[in-house]
Amino acid sequence: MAEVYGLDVKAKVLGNGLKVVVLEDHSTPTATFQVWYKVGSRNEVSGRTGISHLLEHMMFKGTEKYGPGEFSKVVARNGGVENAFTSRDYTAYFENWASDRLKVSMELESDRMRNLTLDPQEFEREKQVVMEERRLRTEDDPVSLLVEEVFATAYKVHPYHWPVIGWMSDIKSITLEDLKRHYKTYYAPNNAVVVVVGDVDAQQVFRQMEKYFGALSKGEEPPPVASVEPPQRGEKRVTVVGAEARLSFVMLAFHVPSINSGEEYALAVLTNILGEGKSSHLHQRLVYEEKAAVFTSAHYQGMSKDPGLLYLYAGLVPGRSPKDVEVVIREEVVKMKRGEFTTRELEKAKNQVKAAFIYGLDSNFYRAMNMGKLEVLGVGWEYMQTYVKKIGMVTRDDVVRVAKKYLKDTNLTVGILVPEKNL
Amino acid sequence: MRKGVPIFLTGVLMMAVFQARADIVPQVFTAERGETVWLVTRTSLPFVVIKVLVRAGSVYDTDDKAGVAYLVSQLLPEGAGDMTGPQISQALDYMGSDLDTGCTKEYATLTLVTLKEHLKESFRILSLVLSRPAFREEDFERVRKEVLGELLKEEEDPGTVASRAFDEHLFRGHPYHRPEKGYYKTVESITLKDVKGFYRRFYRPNFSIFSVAGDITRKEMEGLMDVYLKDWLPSDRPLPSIPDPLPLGKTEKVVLDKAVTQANIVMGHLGVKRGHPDFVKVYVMNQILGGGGLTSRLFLKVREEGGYSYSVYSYFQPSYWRGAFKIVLQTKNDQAQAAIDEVVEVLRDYKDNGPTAQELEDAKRYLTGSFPLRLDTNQEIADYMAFAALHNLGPDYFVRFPKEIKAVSLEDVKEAAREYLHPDRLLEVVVKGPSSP
Repeated sequence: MAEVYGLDVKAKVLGNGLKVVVLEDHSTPTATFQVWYKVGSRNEVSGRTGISHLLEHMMFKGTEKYGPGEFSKVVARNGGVENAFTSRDYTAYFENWASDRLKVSMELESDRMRNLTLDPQEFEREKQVVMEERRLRTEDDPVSLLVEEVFATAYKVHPYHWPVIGWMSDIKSITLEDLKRHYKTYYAPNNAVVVVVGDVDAQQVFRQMEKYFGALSKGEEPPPVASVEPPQRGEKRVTVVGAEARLSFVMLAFHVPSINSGEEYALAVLTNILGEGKSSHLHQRLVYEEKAAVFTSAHYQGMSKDPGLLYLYAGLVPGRSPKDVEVVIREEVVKMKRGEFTTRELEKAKNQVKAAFIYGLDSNFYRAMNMGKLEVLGVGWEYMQTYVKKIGMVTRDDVVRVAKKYLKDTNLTVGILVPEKNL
Repeated sequence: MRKGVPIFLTGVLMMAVFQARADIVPQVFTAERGETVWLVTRTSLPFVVIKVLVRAGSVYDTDDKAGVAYLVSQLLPEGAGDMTGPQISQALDYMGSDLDTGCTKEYATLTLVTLKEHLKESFRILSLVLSRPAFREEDFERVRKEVLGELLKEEEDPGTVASRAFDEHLFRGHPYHRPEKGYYKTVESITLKDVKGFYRRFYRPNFSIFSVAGDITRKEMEGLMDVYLKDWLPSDRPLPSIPDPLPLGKTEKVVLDKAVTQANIVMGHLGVKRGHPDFVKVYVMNQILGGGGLTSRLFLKVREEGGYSYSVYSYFQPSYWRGAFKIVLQTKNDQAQAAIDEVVEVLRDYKDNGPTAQELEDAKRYLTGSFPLRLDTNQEIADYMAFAALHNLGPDYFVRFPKEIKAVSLEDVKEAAREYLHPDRLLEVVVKGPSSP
């Protein structure tokens, strides 16, 4: 099966610094075109949080050449599916369509990389839309509110402190001038990567990219993110009382290193054994044995530019106490530090990573997503080639070592969601 | 403002429309004990998706025991044959296989994703779960509590609350009115006997569809079914007959209070079922009104011009019995009525005047062009085939559907808008909190 890990990716950097990464796959006559900008909420400052996401919305509001909404119309009438997303580390735009439509992507995306109109009236209206998005995703969702609080508590200095969508008052007060500056600083060929996966010829893509993007002017080097989260000195706790919450929810989050630290593979295996899937320790203990949780999970933010969090959580069976569940989760954490897991569980984690990798190869879109993410995170698409192999090399000692090093009380933030009705 | 600036499309933006290439021609056959099988062999990657759809949805629950169908679906993998729940999950996770079970109003599903190298063992476990569930008392009590927890959790989400209230009113007197998972009170009253009885009645090979995509041949599939499902017995009774729901006949407005910052609005009326001869016309008609993409009339009017809502869309449920036409949006509490008025205005205008020729052309190009994009993974193909099999759309569906879309004329869409949109007979459900600044 080794052959599926080897991806024949071709890459080229244009004169203005734009990197183009292409993977040919001729199995269906479709392709995805993705533009990844190295900007997200980590590049923001207090008072203007959410500006990257707001800018993503404004990218659909037109240029001199294509008016508001025209971009989407052109994509739709060419049978394309488009959208965009903003994260803490990047902002990306994509069109999926028949591979012979790629030139339309290039025409449209090269235009909005540098020539966005940023009209004041469109801007005011879009702020309303984004505020509605925040109400929908966060304000009226008790678990989202808890997650937001846990991040805001765990990070005090680094911009991961605030949510990608931004604080409501910041969304309201960001000005068009702020937005123009943000656009000018971060939307430039030298701060972007284009990923193409599908039924294409790489050399032809490079030629066409030169034609459409080659003349775009290079921007100044964007400023680096200076803030570094200092080591945590003791356990932190935060409680959210949810007016509309019905279930209690417990979350334990630890600061951990992320991509390219060398420790991400062991941390991924640790997370898997501890909390991923029904066979994980948390599920077996809290759902099957204690009958205290409706669901449990674990997540490791390994694909993160700066150090992220490893978090464990459980939604409680009505009537069970968050305190008891927290105690059980802590016990399971201690067991990992003592190496109380089987060799078969170690193999299971590796098998799951391998299988998930193969399942993920089935879609042009997800392959391009992974390549784009790795490019903007700075490790490059090549990271994919070795990931499964490196996971395969993780030993029991590695897992115990990272568990001891990072799953410490002094490095922990505990978040509890309490339904108001239970008080 | 740049609204209304004419755009002259030239060059690359005016290329001929992409012809959807439908490579997907499934093999369709009936297996030994009456299972319908749809299968597509794709060998590019060494894995297989097997989706089993059983006609065991919550429509077959009774009002006083609503929730049995869902509870059964959740209990299946919690013990089967000689394996306990933990043993099943450990065995599957060790192979990197996924087995997920679920239940809608119309059917239950079991979806297996497995590497080719573990196909046999994974299929063996799937078969156990499907044909020999243990239904142990202890697991039953535990899972029922979990479902009660899920039901409470659903009440946290104003969108779910609105959608449930909408169905409750629109489908009054029809099994569609009940939520898939039942109600807190009815789930509390379910017994293990109810669960076993429901399973025996509905989990039968002749009420099931196997939708298979990936690195597997028909022969391999038949071989697996012969070995592992040979003791699964078909039913000699037909499925209970359920009539189509009847229209409300009048406008209704339901307002529910909740401590939220945003009003969640669901409005609509009865639509047409997937099996209706006009369904494709209605589908194209709705695409222009409120369908996918960022270009529908509702999207442009309510979001892009009004700034009312982040998300706004409409759809006709492609249902087995006559389902709903729904419009869904959210806006801050104090402008709920203004947003509803906007929606009704769009609806009225569209019903009276229909779309422009350009809108229809764009919608057809979008729907036909994006169709192959929805069919490019084993998972998507398995999902789509199960849907096509359920609705008896025929193995040529993937070739035929784009052609049917292309054949829809401007007159068809105008007629569909006049006949199937009823802005004067809307059911409106609003879940909202107090107005805030």
